Amino acid sequence: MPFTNLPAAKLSFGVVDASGSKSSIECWVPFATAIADVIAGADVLRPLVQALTDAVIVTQSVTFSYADNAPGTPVAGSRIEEKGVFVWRTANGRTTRFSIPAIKDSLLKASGAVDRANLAVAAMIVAVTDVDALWCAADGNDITALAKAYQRFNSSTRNQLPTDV
Amino acid sequence: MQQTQPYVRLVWRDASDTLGYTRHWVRPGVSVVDVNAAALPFRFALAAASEAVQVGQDIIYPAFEPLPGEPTGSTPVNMAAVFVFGTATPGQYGMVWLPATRPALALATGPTAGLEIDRTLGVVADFIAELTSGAYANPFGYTLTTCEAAFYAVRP
Repeated sequence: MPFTNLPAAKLSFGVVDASGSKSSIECWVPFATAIADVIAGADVLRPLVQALTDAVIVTQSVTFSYADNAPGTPVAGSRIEEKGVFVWRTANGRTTRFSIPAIKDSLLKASGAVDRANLAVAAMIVAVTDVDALWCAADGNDITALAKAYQRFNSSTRNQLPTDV
Repeated sequence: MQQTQPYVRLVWRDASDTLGYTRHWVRPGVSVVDVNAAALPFRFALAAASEAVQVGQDIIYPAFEPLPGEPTGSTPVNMAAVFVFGTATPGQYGMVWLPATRPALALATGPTAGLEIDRTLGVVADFIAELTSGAYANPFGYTLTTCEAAFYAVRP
């Protein structure tokens, strides 16, 4: 997975007009620009943009993107919709979750629960819950333990249907 | 703008070329370089559990306006102005679309009246000056240096 960064990071302002329709304004900064500098620059640019548009700015995001120029080949028959749902306990007693798409069948028990004794699962639990790890819940609380993990099948969206039907 | 929790979004692709996305929150105040470094072993750990492959990664710093004002006019967002910027490198341009551009910014006279943005107006000049200050670039990383054109265009 040798990810390579794109040449520029995207600064985007989300706007909404009087009818409620949404759109965005996108500009770019050199990728090496520090996030603090991008945000400080956005604070200067935002009122200048607002002075030109009748819509109102409601959101802002800065995105630094990376791409794998030589990705591997997915396992034949793998489907994004087959999820491995991982629910984590956090330091404030709440939970947070993410789902791994196309979960490997070899990590599952016959019941559909994720086998925590599997070495790959155990390694992932360590990577997520390590006290020095970066990963946390949306409220900023540390992820402390795996609460539950299981297989789930999501409905296919229109974009996920085969293209040759 | 109120900054919210940054996150890493991983892009996955399965055998049918369908893309999927996962979101992983990270602590605030961590630099992009440090997030990317920490994401490497994390990505490997997740990849070991999936039959899909990871094809991309975004590190996103979101923010929202807690008390947004009201739109100042009825201009729809698809009534946009496009600003075309030049760079110091020949053939490299950058474009910035501005939704719901105020109609009063158009030239009032001349053959391009109502179409071209009046770049001599103070608010327009200030916007252009900021984008050409050296901090902004086109998607290929070339710094914007001049505004070559600005005109109304209906954005689909």
